[in-house]
Amino acid sequence: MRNFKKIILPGLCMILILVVVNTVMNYALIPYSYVRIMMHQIETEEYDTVFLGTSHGLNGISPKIVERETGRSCINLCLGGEYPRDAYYLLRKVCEKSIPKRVVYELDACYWCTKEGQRGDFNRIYYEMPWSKAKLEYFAAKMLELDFRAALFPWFYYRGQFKEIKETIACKQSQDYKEYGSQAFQKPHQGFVDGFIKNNTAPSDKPEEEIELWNEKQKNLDSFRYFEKLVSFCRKHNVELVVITTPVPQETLEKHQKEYQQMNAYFSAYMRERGIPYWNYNLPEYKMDDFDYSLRIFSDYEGHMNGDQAEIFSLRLSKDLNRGSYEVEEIHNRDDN
Amino acid sequence: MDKLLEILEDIQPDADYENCETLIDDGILDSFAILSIVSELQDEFEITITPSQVIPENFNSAKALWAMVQRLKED
Amino acid sequence: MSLISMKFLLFVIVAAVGYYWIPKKYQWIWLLLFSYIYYVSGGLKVTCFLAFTTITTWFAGMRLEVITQAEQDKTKRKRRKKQILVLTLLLNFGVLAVLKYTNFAITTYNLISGASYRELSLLLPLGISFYTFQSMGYLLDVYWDRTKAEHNLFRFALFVSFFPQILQGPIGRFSRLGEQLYASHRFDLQKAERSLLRILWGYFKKMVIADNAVIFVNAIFGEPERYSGLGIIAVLAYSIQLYCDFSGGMDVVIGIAGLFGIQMDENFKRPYFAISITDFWHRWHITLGTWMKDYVFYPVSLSGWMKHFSKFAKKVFGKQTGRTLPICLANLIVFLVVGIWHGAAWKFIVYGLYNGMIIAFSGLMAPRYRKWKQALHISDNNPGFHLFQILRTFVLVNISWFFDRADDVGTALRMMKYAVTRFDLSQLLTVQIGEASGTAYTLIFLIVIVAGCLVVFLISLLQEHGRDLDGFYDRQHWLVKCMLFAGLFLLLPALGQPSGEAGGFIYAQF
Repeated sequence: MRNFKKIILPGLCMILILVVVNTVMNYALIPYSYVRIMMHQIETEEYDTVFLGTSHGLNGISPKIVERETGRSCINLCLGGEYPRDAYYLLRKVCEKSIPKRVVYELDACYWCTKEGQRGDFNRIYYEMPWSKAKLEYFAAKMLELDFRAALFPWFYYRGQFKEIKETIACKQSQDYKEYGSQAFQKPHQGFVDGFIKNNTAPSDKPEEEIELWNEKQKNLDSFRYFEKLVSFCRKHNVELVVITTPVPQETLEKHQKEYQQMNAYFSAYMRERGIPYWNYNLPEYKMDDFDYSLRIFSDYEGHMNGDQAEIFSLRLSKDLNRGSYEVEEIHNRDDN
Repeated sequence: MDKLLEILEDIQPDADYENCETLIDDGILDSFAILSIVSELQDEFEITITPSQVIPENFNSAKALWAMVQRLKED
Repeated sequence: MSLISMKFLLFVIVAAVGYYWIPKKYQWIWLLLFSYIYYVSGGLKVTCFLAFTTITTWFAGMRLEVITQAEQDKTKRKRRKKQILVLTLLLNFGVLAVLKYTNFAITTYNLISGASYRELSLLLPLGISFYTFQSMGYLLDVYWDRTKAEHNLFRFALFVSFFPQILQGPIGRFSRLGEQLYASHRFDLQKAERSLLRILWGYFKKMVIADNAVIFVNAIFGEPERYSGLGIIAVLAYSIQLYCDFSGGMDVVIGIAGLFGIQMDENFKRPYFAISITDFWHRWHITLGTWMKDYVFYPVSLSGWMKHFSKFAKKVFGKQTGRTLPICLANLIVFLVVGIWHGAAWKFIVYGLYNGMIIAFSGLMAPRYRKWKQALHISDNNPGFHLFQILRTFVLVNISWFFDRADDVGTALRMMKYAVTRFDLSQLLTVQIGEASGTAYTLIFLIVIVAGCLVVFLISLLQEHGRDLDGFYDRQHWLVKCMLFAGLFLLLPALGQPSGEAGGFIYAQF
């Protein structure tokens, strides 16, 4: 009784205060994200083909088109800030509902040679993921290394949003939010439509930007480790795995020729060693005749596609997926010779 | 003992060396003063003071200092 | 394991809860286990260095005790003991010197000779400066018969590796720390509460004040030409950052030790209230100062050759100056070592010698100062004079911070010049806070820093005047205490900077 009054009661009281304040702050500061929609989908539906990867895949692959062309249900789980570790645990979460037949991993080399950032978007997948065994493992793999404030108080990375509190709360009270709708993400130049981010940028000159490029000397060992875990997992559960790299603007390729060539060589060899089909759509062998590679059409220098390009790319990707990986490799090896 | 008091007064005046027993604990003698005292004692009484003797127990009062000097003279 | 990571938080909780659950006679083993888990999590290779220091020092301590008891011949005893001492000191300080200073030696040699030898990529074991100093202090204590040697290797290993202090001190003494580590401890709610509060207070100082101040420090010291008008702001911000980071770290670490019922030595005593540089070093990084005093300053001052120098000096300069000069010289040597301890760069040597020379000078002038104060009827108790002493010391300390923080001696001097000649506060609001937010929040975080400093200042003032703040806390209703804890805890994410911007604790790299 004495213990209860002196230790447990005050302890519980303090935890209660923290939980309440934390919940309120999370609700008020953290804006609605389409990651929430994706999590809801993987909890409630089963998918044949899962796309994992980065913002390039998010902007360039239309799951609706691929589903139509391949006849297999698809979901695009590519996200900006999704490192191989995040992709691995996303897949683990998907597999808690059902194991897909195929995983397509979109590889952006800069995620393999840079450290994970400490910003909201790098933790969003963890935050939106509902609790389960996969999330517990994800916690141990990712959150333990972080600042304890980031792990305990998700709103920590969103303090800058206090100016938008009214909008955030209004959004979360709306019917659209409750039904996991994507109305909130429709903007004039961009929208979360058909399960991916469709850019509506008009053709224009784009300024050159600072971009992260592949640098073998600064390998992020965690990225390699978790990709290999993903590969083992797919092998263990008989999941077909294909790795792709989306096309980037011609101008960007030419400006950073050396780094792109190094990247192409490195990852081609890496995937070949592991027997993983790798379709790098920047290589001449994979060139698409109907795809406009000019910087004017892309939505930025880094290479996020606009809606039309995404359509063409998705059609081509579907064709290649239908052919089957070995056939595709053969065709391109033949072209090579 | 008188000579000792003279030395102490010269190095750090205005302290009550007759009665005070916390010269180190109260910070009345700082490191500079302690080492100056050591230097004078070594010269005056022809003794050698080693680091192991420079402890509060020996320096907290004039009495304790005198006792240490006597001990070292006998060695 | 970073002190701000989630991993570490869980680690401490498990360690502390388990500590009071297991039978008391195994408590020290539990601490040893967790200390090694902590160290190994930083790398297995570097743990070898820790083990090396532990084993060599323990063995040397045992040998010294055996020789003291067994060897009858006084001269032989002294000689044999000295051999063991010197060998072990050389081995351990040697390892420290090689790992920490080889590249400095290489670059200096390149500079002088025009050669271009490449720097080596060497491992730097966590806390090597701290645990080496602590172990060598133990060895010297055994050598001087100030403490008995520890016979149990594993108990000794705990003394060397005790995880709260391994990263950034405080540097402990075996006579005080040893018996606490090996004793059994009953859970004491009052101690635990005070420790938890202290830990939160430490994190508050580090995350809310230091991490925000460091943004300004890094910006201005990073581009001294661009922000040339802000030299004074930079060094004041650095004063704040360094104190809040380091003393905050100490609060966390001492608080964690307190959770296990172990009281470590204090490392800070409101240093910016110091009335002289000497007083400052009795209040700043206290355990380093006392270590230097007991193991460098006194032994050097009392050594044979210093005695000869003293005789010579007295003959040439007269009694008063003559007896003070050797002490000044020893003091300079101490601060040269302090400077080098801070880092392998010339600016740190300048930093050390700057402090050493001021203390040496004031030591030499002490009798004269006494006479002048008497003549001007200035008493040490005069509050005006007291304030003058504090401000004077604060200015002198801030000058030393330029050498500590600027890229090199040249930049330090240039920044000091600009601070006066190009003073311009308007540049302050152009400093960017945070990665993406630009200067929108600069004013807010400036206010946070100032507010935080006011709180720290008030608490320090109360402590300086001997108020019993712990007692005041104890008397509060438990609901008030809950809100205090929750409030402090919530301020950390609310007003702190993400560690990507600010970095970990500064002294954790020593």
